[in-house]
Amino acid sequence: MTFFGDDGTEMSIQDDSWSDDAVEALLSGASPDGDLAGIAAFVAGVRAAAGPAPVPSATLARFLATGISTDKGDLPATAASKVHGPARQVSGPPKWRRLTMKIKGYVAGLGVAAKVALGAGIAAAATTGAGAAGVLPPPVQHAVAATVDAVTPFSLPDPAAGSQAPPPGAKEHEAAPAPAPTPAGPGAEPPAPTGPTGTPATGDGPAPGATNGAGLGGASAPPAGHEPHTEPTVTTTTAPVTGGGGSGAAGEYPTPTTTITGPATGEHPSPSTTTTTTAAPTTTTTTHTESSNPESITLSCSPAHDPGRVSCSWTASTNADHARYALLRTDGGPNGRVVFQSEAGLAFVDTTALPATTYGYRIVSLRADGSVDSHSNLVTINCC
Amino acid sequence: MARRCPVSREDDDARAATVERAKAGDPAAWTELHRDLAPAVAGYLRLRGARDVDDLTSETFLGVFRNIGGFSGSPAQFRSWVFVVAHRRLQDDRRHRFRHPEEAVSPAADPDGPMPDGVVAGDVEHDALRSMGAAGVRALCERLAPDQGDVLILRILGDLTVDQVAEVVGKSPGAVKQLQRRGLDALRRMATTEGVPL
Repeated sequence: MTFFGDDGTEMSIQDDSWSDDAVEALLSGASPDGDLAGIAAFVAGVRAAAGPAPVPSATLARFLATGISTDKGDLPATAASKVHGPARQVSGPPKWRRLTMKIKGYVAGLGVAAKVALGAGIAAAATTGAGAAGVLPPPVQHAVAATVDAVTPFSLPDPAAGSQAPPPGAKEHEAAPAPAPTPAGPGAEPPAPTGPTGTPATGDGPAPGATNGAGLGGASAPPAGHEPHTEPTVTTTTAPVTGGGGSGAAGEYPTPTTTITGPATGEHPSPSTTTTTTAAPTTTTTTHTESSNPESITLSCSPAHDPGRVSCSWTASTNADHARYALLRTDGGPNGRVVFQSEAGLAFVDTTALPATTYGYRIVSLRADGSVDSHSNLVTINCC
Repeated sequence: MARRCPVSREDDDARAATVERAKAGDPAAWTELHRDLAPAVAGYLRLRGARDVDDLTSETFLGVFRNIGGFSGSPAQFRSWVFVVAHRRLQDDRRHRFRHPEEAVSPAADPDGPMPDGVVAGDVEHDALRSMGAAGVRALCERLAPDQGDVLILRILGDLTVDQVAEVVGKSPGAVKQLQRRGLDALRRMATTEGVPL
């Protein structure tokens, strides 16, 4: 194949007409007249070819969401990738610290306004991240499950939700009443969620009157309780289910309910005890979704290159009775609004997002009758 | 050689800080870097005829993030490094295409692409204008000698200096200068003598 410019003799003559300055000017976008105008148009066209950021692949999306790399390859740390079995004991402290630090970073990184606006949502997001990693002790997982559901619009019958005010204090720290009584030191904090543990029945209700929101705060509070952080504005969380969905991890955790119920929790009261029976993540979802066949969908969203655009993509639902997806968006409240529905679509560009606004996105898989089959993680994003 | 697009000291510092945070595993920093660089990387891959632009771009960033711990240098060097990774992925892609020509997809097919079912493309007018220009640009790129095209696109879209491009394509700065001259010359002749639509 012959290309333009391959002709050496011709070029040796032509080369003389290009000075370094002329080349630099052209490549910098100068707009000369004459026969160079075509080149200038080409240069402009090339620059325009850098459209919006492409949608990241599922693997990359998980990387961007968790920021946790493993030495095992491309996969970020998820319940599935990190844990080999339900009974496996993992030394809690180190992992705990790392994750809680990250989680705290997420939440603390948000401006006060954002915290207030998102209220429970943000807190939930932070906690879910940990849940996804499969390192939260059962009791906490329970709380996470509750919060996840709480922010999952369709499955939000919760009548007690009367007091959506939880974020009055705004700061997640205060929002969490129960967690405060953390007995152990910092290292212990994470498992601290003694609230749920101690009172299995109440579970997510460390704050009795508290609504979903309160529940969320409670759940996330422990991690937030640490030192302050200044960091990211974009918080992405992998669903507690991520790992499970991705690799049939669910199958590895035969006794989901156990973790949730009081007894199990009691086993992991102290932080020092190696908890992490990853059964938790999967479990949690189970209890709270109406679905008898809970399954995870991993959602990832990122601000597109253009203002006001958010690109979201998600993994396919594997539930047999899946009928369609609905992408929900909330700008702070517990209930989202459907911004997109599709039977099989796995991506969507939300062009209605407003700049400088923090949104929460969640994808849910609906059955034919409109009931929720399963849902994804909550992704909070600061647009754009 | 001076950078064509000089960045302010503050910008440079901010970018350096972002790279450092990314090295420390901060997901927000990764997102930021991806957001900043992915459009240019995708544009480069697209104009150089990659088959699956989105996938290759993701592969590029996975490679970058996986190895970012070993990177040290300025933000400009980080940028060139990202393109080094992208260029290698592109070469792998080309080799694969060469060996499996039957899988080749017309470069024009994926740029703005078939998007998944039900996807809203956004500002239709804007997209149309952009894709019209892109078609002309792609037509010209396809007719340029491969190494000339690589060099020109890296210089323009990658916003890289001659030295940086030399690093990316593994040639000397002198060779890069020669290639860009020839490429520009070829473009001039195509545009003037053949009226290639732009």
